[in-house]
Amino acid sequence: MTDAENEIELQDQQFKQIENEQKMFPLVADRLPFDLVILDYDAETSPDYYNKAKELANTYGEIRQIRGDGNCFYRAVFVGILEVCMKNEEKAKQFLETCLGWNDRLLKLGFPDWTTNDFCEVFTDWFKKVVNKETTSEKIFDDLNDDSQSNYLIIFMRLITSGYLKEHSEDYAPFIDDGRSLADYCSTEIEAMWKDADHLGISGLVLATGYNIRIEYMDRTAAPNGGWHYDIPADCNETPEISLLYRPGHYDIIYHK
Amino acid sequence: MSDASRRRLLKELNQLQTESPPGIIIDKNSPDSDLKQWRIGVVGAKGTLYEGEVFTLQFTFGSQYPFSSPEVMFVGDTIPAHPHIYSNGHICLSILADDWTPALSVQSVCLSILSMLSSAREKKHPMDDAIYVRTCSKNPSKTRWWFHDDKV
Repeated sequence: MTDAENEIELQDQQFKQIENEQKMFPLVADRLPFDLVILDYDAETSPDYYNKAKELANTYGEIRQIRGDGNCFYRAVFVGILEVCMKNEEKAKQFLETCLGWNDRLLKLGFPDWTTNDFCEVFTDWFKKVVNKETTSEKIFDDLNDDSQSNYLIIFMRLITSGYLKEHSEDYAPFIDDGRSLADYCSTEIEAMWKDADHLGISGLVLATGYNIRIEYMDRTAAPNGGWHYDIPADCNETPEISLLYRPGHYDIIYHK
Repeated sequence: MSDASRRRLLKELNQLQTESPPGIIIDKNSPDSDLKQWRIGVVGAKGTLYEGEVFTLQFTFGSQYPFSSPEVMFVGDTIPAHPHIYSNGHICLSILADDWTPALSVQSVCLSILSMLSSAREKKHPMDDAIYVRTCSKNPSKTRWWFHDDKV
């Protein structure tokens, strides 16, 4: 083998190893005490994160960890919305309406009709069962942890994110660097699975679903405004119902005490 | 094959069999019962270098389809000579690798390949054909493609 081939082979092995390690975690874990986050850090070697975790533990009582597979932002927000809907029938119906409406909105934007209809149908059929209480919480979380079933739920979140960005292309296109068009950006970064969400993806998903979120940062330097937390959209009046914890490269869901 | 992938593949197969677009031939007996591997005929479009020629594409689907790309290559006795198609049937097309999105389908892949054939100006394999065919993996999705020019 040549050096280049060797390097590719090595890289493949590394990716495989990371993938296998990640697959040992559930896609969507159970709610666990927030104190677990404190245990992740050593008071002496990483005092900043340790102290921040302790401080957050005053506000947040629980954490639900999400697998780090590149879908974590979309998955975390979706599970957050789902939990709100499971407790509130009115909101569940409202969210179903939003989702049903997205099918036509996507087609109008020129998304390929056959596959788009299929994804929308699978998603809304699944979500109708939640709204109509034809499923149990146990089954819902089983589905969320089933690779192939949950892929369909995630792709729907990705498509509507892409749809929202495209509907407001004049607002978002200027943020895309390296000369790509918004359509190119959406197809390679948003509509493709296992690609991390950046600020466009975050904004797009929040506005496409109509659910505001708060992101708590472990590290101030990572926060867009240099603060400890960030509400999206920035001008939302109430504290968002869904909170995520951001640790470099990863999102989990956290719950107020 | 997961239930979700199977459901989607059955739906795609049904659609292709009832209303396949011009230039795409689906053999009714083609997919095996587990739907994992399909063979689809493509016919070179009128007015192109491949007019009327029939080639066979082989699709192999993994359990994560349509979230992961299918493996697609030309098989059989006649492999089209084309600047993006190697003589072993491997195809250098970005949507089959990095640019795959789940919004694509068997039909859209076939149409992209037909359009790639249509835009050829010369019937010849890529310049590095001899060395590629000798050294590549059997599975084209293991190849790190270098996409030169999407227009050809």
